[in-house]
Amino acid sequence: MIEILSQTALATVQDLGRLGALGFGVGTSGAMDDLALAAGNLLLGNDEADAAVEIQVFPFELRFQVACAFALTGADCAATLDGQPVMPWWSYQANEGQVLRLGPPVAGPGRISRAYLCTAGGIDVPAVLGSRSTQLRGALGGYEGRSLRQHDVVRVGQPGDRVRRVGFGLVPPAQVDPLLQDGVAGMRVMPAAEYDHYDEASRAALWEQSWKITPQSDRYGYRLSGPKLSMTTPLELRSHGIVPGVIQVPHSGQPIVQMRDAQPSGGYPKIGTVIKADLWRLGQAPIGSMIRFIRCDWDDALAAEQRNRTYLDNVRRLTALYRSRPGLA
Amino acid sequence: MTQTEPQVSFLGTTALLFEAPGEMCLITQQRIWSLAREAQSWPEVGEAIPGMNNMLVSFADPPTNPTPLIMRLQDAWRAARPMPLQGRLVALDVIYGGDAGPHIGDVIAHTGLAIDDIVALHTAPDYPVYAIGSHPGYCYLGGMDRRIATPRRQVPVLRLPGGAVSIGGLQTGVSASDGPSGWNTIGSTSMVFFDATLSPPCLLQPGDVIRFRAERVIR
Amino acid sequence: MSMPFQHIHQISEYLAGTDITLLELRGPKGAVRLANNAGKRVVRDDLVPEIIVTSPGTGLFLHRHPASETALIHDGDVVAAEQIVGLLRVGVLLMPVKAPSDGIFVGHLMAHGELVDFGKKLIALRAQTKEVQP
Repeated sequence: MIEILSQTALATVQDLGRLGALGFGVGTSGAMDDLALAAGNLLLGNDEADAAVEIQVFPFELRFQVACAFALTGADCAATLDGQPVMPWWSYQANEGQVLRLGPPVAGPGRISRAYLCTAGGIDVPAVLGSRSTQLRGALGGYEGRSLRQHDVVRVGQPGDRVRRVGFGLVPPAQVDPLLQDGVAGMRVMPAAEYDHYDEASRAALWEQSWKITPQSDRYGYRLSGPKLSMTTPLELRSHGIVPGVIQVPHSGQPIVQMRDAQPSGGYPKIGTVIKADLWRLGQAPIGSMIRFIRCDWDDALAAEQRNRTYLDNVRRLTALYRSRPGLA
Repeated sequence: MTQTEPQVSFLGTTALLFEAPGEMCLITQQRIWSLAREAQSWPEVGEAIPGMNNMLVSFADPPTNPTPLIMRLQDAWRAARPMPLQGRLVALDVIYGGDAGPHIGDVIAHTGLAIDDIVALHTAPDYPVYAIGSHPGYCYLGGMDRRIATPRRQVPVLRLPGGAVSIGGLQTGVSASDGPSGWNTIGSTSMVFFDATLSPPCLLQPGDVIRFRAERVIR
Repeated sequence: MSMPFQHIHQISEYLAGTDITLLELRGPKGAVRLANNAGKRVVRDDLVPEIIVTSPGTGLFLHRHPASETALIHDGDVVAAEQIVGLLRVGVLLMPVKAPSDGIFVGHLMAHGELVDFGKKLIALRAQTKEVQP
């Protein structure tokens, strides 16, 4: 069990998302940085799709009520365990009663915004419609369908499954496979249905200008500010299914990228879609930071997914090897 | 939307969107239901989900080359016959106006109709469930009388309660849970549309029909 | 031989304030050469401090975590036995390089990102003594 000590946590239990319930009007939810969650799980020897705690407001404090192996992935939050430094992307064994504290993400050019607490055996909440991710609208999944609060006690793994070989770590994907465009964090985008309805200047601006992530950005969507995107002729669309990553453009001409908690349908025009393989990059981009969209096609998008897959395959293979033979290397 | 051929576009490599040509109508929607049922059985398809005269197809695993799938969808569309309305008819008791329908005044102001006329027009049709979307258990309905159409609100309501019966443009619907909405709330019902512990979790599915009954009108 | 090494830190501090460029200390079991590189202390491979952290395997030796801009240990840091003082990278895996005993960090013997073999000398520490305050 872990007890949440922070007051306004806004942390949620997430896994890789709820796939297959779109037909019930249920969006995918899931970790904003799916690579960090999957890698953290693999580091502990978990299934890569196990649930973890996504932490996005700092400082964040929790107490291990039982001894439990854990790993923090995602943002480097200069964490401490009973005051002792805890490295990001590294596995540890916590003793009963120890307090884990995460500070704000460490400043610097590589600053990212969300951290994942993975625990041996995964966060033990019931799967709802095939996933442990928190779906806030409709209050289902995760911990009672809501974000965590002070004094919540969250179950971790099974007794006997909480001790793992720990004390090693991973190179984060941002360092293995960085993506910058003119020095600005990049995300690859495929044009979407209404792309050709935007005027030439708007289409050019999409690729050539930097976009700022406004404070009105959260797990539902990232509202960007930049040049106004205008259509040659206004379009009224019928409600249709959408997915995380879709870049909608409301009347203001300022794009909104749908994120993990986005509703599964919408009606605004879509100029593009941030590809699945790069959604974690956007999910980690801090409010106030600048991003660039990099045009890509179907083949590029599949190749990017394959690179993510290769990263996780390498993590799985090398961590399994190290666990069996820590002398490796 | 005056094209005569369906439009297919990508939502990254996660899904594709199939949009039927022509004016929005029930016959087209019935063909979409047929198409979705067919596509759902294809191995590369994760989910085939009807929208409003369109369909989202998510990939179980994105194909190396999506073109054959697109051609198959277009062939299946040409062959798709309208799936008849054979769903259940669910009657919803609605309290119109008052605290249950805080925006009915705006609908009265926009349409120039009396509250009783609005209630009569709203309760008259059988509304086919075109699609499920927006939030868990929410039904997109067709068939609202144009005379009570009212534009969406300038400022969305942040927490519209579940069970709210509302009008947004030419559409009407019932919120399945608390959440933000830009629609005008004219009444409320106590029906529960979604329960994750049930199988299926949704009360209604595309092809079912909703009939609103005036339980009470607060004038 | 232990006597001069316990005072290397102090001696090198003095040395930094002089224009002496090279100081050689000889004992019965070996020699130490201190180079005065314009106030910048240089630890050389041929110099034998008391505690040498060696590589636990083959990989890229990292002074700092790949996600971090700062080294795991800095000049003068007091290090506890088993403390992680460096990392060894093999593909996406990071393995700990641990201090074999308590000590004070003197310097890195290999550059950040350099490929090293098992047993390669990576980090120099000196024993913490009462004469030297951390």
